[in-house]
Amino acid sequence: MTVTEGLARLQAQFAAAVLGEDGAGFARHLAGDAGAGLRRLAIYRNAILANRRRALRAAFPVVARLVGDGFFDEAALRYGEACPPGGADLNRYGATFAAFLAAYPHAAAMPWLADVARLEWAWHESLAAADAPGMDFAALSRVPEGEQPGLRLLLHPSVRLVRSAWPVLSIWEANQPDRDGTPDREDGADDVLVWREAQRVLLARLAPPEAAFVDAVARGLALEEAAGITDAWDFTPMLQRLALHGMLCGFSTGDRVPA
Amino acid sequence: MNPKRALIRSALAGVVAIGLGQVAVSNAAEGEPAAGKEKCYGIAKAGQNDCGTATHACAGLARKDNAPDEWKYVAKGTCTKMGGKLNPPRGK
Repeated sequence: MTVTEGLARLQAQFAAAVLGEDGAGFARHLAGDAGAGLRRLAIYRNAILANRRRALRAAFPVVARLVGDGFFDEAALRYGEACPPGGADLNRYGATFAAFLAAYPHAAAMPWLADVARLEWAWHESLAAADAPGMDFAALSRVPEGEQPGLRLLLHPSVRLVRSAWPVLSIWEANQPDRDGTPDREDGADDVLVWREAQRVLLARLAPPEAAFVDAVARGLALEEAAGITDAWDFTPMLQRLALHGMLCGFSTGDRVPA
Repeated sequence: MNPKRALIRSALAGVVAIGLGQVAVSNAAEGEPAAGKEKCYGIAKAGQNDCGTATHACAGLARKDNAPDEWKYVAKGTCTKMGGKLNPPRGK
């Protein structure tokens, strides 16, 4: 075994001892008596779990408020065991928390909870999404008419569409800090457009054909196909809205997917 | 020209008009912060700038978290106000 391999193994053992049920097997690597060593390991464990919990709370404040501290912290702990962070940046931790909640038996009485989490993650991702240059509208104006139906539009990296069978936007709004948690609207299926504008994340509820159109554009469909998603519906206002709010940032013609 | 293509043509013309008329606005919206304002994403989300460990009491001892009390499985937040009130989805 090389020195590097030996170090990697020792680090893996340390990680297992910190996060595992007990670190007794690791005690021989620790200075001082075993009891003191294990208590010091426990400090690491406590700090790591607290940091994970805080990262999730920062990304999912509405879910945390909806279920309360005890429930949230327990769910966060279980999630961390099932899906440990994949990297050192805890801002990226929580991408699968919504999926976890969807399958979490204790959340079964709140079938909308996972979708609220999806909306919060979309918000979180939108805030941190890369910048992109704005749409080159002059270039767009020069696209020959014959190529217009084949145009594929590129949405800004901060744009997300969250489609839910529940009134998730209403629930989200009701659980902002200045509200008492009572939704204005208790039914509906919300399709929520999420985007960043002037460094703020904004949310808007879309009508079903609007959502279908945005979804089609996001999937890279040509404009003619996206426009045909819903018959007898004029996509012009929605397209203009995307342009007006900086949600378009590029296009391609032909079969090439915009990059 | 078929109606859909005519619609696409007019829609794009409208978008171009918006885009070319709004250059200043779109620059302000993305990338170029207003004068005197430093770009800082943390502003929009309180607490995100905190170092994860700065406020954490490292002196805390490990708790045995593996045998949770039942109350940790019962939601005690604002959702209790919504319990039984939200209507099941229609359609979708």
